[in-house]
Amino acid sequence: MNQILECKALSKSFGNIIALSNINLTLDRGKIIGLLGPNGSGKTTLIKLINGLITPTSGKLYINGNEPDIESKKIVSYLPDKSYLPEWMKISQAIDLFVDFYEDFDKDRAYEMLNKLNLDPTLKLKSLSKGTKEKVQLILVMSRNADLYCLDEPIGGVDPAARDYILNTIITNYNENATILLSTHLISDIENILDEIIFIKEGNLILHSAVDEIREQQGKSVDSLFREVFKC
Amino acid sequence: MLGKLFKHEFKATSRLLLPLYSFLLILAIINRIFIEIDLFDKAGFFRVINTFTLSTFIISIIVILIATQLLVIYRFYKNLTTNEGYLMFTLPVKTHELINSKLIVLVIWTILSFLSAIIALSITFLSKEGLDIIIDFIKTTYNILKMTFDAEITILIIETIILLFTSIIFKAISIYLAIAIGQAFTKNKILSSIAAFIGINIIIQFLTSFSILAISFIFDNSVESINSLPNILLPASLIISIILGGVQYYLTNYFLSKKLNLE
Repeated sequence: MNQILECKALSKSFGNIIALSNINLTLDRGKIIGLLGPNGSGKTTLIKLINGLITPTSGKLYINGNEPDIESKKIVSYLPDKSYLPEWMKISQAIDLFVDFYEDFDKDRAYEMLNKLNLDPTLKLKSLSKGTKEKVQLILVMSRNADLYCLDEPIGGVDPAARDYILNTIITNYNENATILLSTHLISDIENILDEIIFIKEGNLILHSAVDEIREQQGKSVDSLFREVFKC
Repeated sequence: MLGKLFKHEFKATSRLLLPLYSFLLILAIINRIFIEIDLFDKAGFFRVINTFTLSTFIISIIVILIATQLLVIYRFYKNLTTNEGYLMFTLPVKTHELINSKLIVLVIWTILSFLSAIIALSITFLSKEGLDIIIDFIKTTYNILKMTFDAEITILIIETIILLFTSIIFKAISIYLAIAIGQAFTKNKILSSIAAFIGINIIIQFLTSFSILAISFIFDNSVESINSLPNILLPASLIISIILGGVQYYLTNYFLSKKLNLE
């Protein structure tokens, strides 16, 4: 089976607000996919549904053929858009936690990345700045050998130098069977690493296409297409 | 995975609770020293200090017993329904394992909190004569109970101990259920939890009173005799709390797995 993710008529409402409406989407293995859309378009909602943190109002969602459950959690590596590590922990304790629970976690890789970014593993998370915490979380998430990486705004809060390192990390650590789904609105920074893009607007899927196709058929960069589609 | 969750849970809670218990033991030792050097007999200023440290000590014991319960229950809320929930609910574990690990840790800390209270009290007050009085007291109580209940004394003690633990878990699971219901709401999660807690308690009150009424009806007059305690009343309360607790456990698991709605 070549599909890692399949959404069938997937919808999610919060009270009267429709966050996602009738999403039909299939993602193949081995791609880097940008989930793009303005704030409040439903990017985070989709990623949270994939990770089972919220449940669909209607429709179905399959990861490697399973609905979100213990089996899907073993193969999905998720970076949320907030700090989710307990503040009292040291970086090394957070790594131990991941070692304990995820069989696919590569401890050496995590320490190597910490070292590259000059992060001391004995530091407590409480003492780190917001951007540094994001780096730590991204290191944890990318140190897993997962089948699907869901990265929600992975580069939003970090400085450009770290951003380059992180993007480089994402590309080099990703094996050819894994898929990376990454949401952002900093499109120009990541455009050249993307294989496919998904545009969502007000909870609706409006485009799912290969980046090459956009360049060839429309003669535009993803960034300019985005500005055109989401023009205010 | 339950073992790993338990290990993690125990580490996270001992960070807060062990210092509390150590503080209590240190306070106990200080009090003992004050008693040993016999400041009680001295008039005025020293006496004030003595009374002050003693009352601080007694209050600390009560506070620590309550704080243990509050901290473990607060951790359930913080660890599962706030940002940390993003971590816990994406671990490859079953939701009931998350709940179980938290319940086991709660029982262990409850026992440890009572143990440290007993140890602290012993450090401060225990002497040869005191020990004799306590042993005497236990013997007398045991004899009175034995006279009243005869051969059923063992079963009475076992039932009481089991009931004690069940009620600790029972009370916690009611709060856990209220938190689990509250998080399922899109807005006003905390307010919804409080409303759910009140609702749960009303239902439990109703069901318990109803069951007790039913039991006294079924067994007619026999509940009035003292022997009905080990034979009818205690086992019945145990069965009622296990059933009601089981239902609440099931619902907590349901809301945290099927109705999870993390902000």
